Amino acid sequence: MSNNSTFSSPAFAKRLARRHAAERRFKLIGLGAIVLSLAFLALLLFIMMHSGLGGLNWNFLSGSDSTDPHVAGIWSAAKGSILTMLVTLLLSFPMGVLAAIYLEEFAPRSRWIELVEVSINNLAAVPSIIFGLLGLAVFINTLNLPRSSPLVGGLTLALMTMPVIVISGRNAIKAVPPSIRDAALAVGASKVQAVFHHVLPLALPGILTGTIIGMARALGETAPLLMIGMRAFIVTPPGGITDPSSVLPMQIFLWSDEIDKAFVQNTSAAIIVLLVFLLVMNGLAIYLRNKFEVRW
Amino acid sequence: MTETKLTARNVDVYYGAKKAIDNVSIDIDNGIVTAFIGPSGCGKSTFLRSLNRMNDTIAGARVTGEILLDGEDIYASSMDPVALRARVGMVFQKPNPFPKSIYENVAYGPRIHGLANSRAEMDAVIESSLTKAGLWDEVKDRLSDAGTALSGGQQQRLCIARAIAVSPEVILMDEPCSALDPIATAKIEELIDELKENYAIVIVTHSMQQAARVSQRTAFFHLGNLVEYGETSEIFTNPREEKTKDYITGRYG
Amino acid sequence: MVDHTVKAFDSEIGQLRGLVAEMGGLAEVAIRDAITALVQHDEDLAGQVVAADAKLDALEAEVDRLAVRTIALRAPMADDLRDVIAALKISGVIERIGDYAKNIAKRVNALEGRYKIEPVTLVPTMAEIAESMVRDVLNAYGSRDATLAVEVIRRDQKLDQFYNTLFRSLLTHMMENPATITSAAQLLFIARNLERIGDHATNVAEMVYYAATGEYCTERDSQTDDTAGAMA
Repeated sequence: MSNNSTFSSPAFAKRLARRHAAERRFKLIGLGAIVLSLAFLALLLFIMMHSGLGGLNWNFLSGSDSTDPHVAGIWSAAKGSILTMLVTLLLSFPMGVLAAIYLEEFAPRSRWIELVEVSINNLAAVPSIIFGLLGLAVFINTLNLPRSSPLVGGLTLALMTMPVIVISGRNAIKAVPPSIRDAALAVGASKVQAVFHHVLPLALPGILTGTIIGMARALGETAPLLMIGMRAFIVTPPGGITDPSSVLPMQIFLWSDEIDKAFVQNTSAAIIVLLVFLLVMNGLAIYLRNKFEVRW
Repeated sequence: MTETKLTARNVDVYYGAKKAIDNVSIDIDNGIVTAFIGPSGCGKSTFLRSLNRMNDTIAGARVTGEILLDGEDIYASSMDPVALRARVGMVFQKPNPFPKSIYENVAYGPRIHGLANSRAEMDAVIESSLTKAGLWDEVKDRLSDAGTALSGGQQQRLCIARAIAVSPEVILMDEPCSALDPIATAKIEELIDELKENYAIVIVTHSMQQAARVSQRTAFFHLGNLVEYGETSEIFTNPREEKTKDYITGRYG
Repeated sequence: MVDHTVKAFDSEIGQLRGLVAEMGGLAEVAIRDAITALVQHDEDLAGQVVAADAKLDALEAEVDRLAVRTIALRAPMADDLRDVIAALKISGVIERIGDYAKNIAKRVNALEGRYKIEPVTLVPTMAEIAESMVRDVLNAYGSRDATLAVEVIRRDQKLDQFYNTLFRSLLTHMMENPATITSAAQLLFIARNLERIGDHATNVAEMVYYAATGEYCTERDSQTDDTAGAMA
């Protein structure tokens, strides 16, 4: 076995050179892809900042919508967004987490359960406007809940967010090693105790991350809320969840439709506010995940 | 004192359609260490897990026959597996402390079974369990440290303390030392020797030398069957069955 | 028997058994040559037997080393363990058998022509039995034959009877012919050595039995060795 001669032959060297060249090419292409996509993002941000930064003042942030662009502010839309998100969270989080726990830990293997799993996975891919239609038909027409309210908006968005939480929750629970469950059971814990005392705390970071990502998506949704009527012109900020209100992305959409060029600055400023909101939510996701992460 | 603690009679264990344990009958006595040896896949771990109904957690697992703990059938509908597992504890191959503090690791079992009514009582239980597991001196000043921050050998002793804390009658050990270095292994073997005074211990091991060092009785499993069961010194100096002899002298396969 | 999965283990056990067999062969030759030297009064041959004993001692040391090494490195169990322990003990016993043969050879010079004693004719026959016991017990060791080992143990009785007879006739001879006391005394020792060789062969047989079956042979307990009380 003359290892030496094989590895020092010219044919081997040429091959090696080609492999290195291919690697360099790939690194270049990969870098190019990143730069290109980031460039678009940077361009967008730059345009927004350029046209909107000037309009970001206290009046803008605390004022309500108005026909006069110089007076119009986003507070009512922002408050509407906050209330809607609250309703969405309070409904989708418990439902989603409990559903995830049941499906992963307690559900027996059967045709029905498989059907449920498939349905939930598909729900996560359904276009959001369908949920809007559902909200319109069930919550507003059948249940007669107040149109254009954070309650209905939150209910609709909760339906949309729940499958996302279930899926990420199941993945987080699946990632908990079986040795933890075994250890708890071996000491005489019941199944429920093992899940809630041991599995859930370990799965929490993953669940939280999935929840906040789902919520961030819900924050930016416009189409379903259009269907349930949150496109009205709201002058006073909503007092409670049953008052008519708007949400941030909706406000952006409405302003972008205005003929008055002065609204352009408002639109851009509102986009910046929305982006900041999203950044904060993602930052919260990362913070919470790191805080609760337990090494095992 | 060798009164019988666990009796298995004509036990079969199935995973779905596959038969993993075939007609095994064995008596496990109190106050001694019983070792299960055999090649990979012979069913020793499966049989061990059926002694505290851990196989219940595996979908498709089925156990037939009788397993009696002090005369009661542990698979009877009147026997609650949760209560059973407080009486028959288990230590696993890879140390698996809860990702909580050392104190909480040991306190969990007594807490859910209501074995300590006050903080003082709980402290006493923790101290006694950690002492019996030979870990107290090393951790008494850092009970709030994470259990996972300990070394491998210490983690395994913590798992043993956790199992002892609920005052079991039987301790099952599934290859407890295979993930540990020789020094940690020796410490645990010494611990097992001390523990056997008060518990019935069953240990599954891949190492014949360990079985020879640590146990008083040895059972040799092969392809789901119990081939031979007897005094450890007899099994290793003069086994009766050809298969046993081939396995322990390294003529297997 | 199936081979060990680790082949080196097989070769080590094989080496050990080979060494013991070699020692046994040398011991047999030593006995035979010592008696031949005695009967033919061949002082040269006797000298050779004495010198050859060094080889036996060297082999015993080698068996010791190899046995200890095998135990340390292979952790033998069951019949492998009994084999190694037996080899260790048997080599020691064979080395002592060799010493007795050497002792017989040494006495050849002391007899010097004063060997025309009537009882001396019994000695070759007795030596034949002792030699056959050694040969057969080593065969039993080689083939792990417990039955042959037991048979060898029984044969010791015959050897003891021979010794009794020789002892009494030598005593009688000494009483009737005081001039032959020196030679007769030497012959007594020689006979004693042969009888001891037989006892040692019996020891080996017991170890062979244990290595082969894992049980202790009780055959010897039932025999009566009354040479201690033999009188003229």
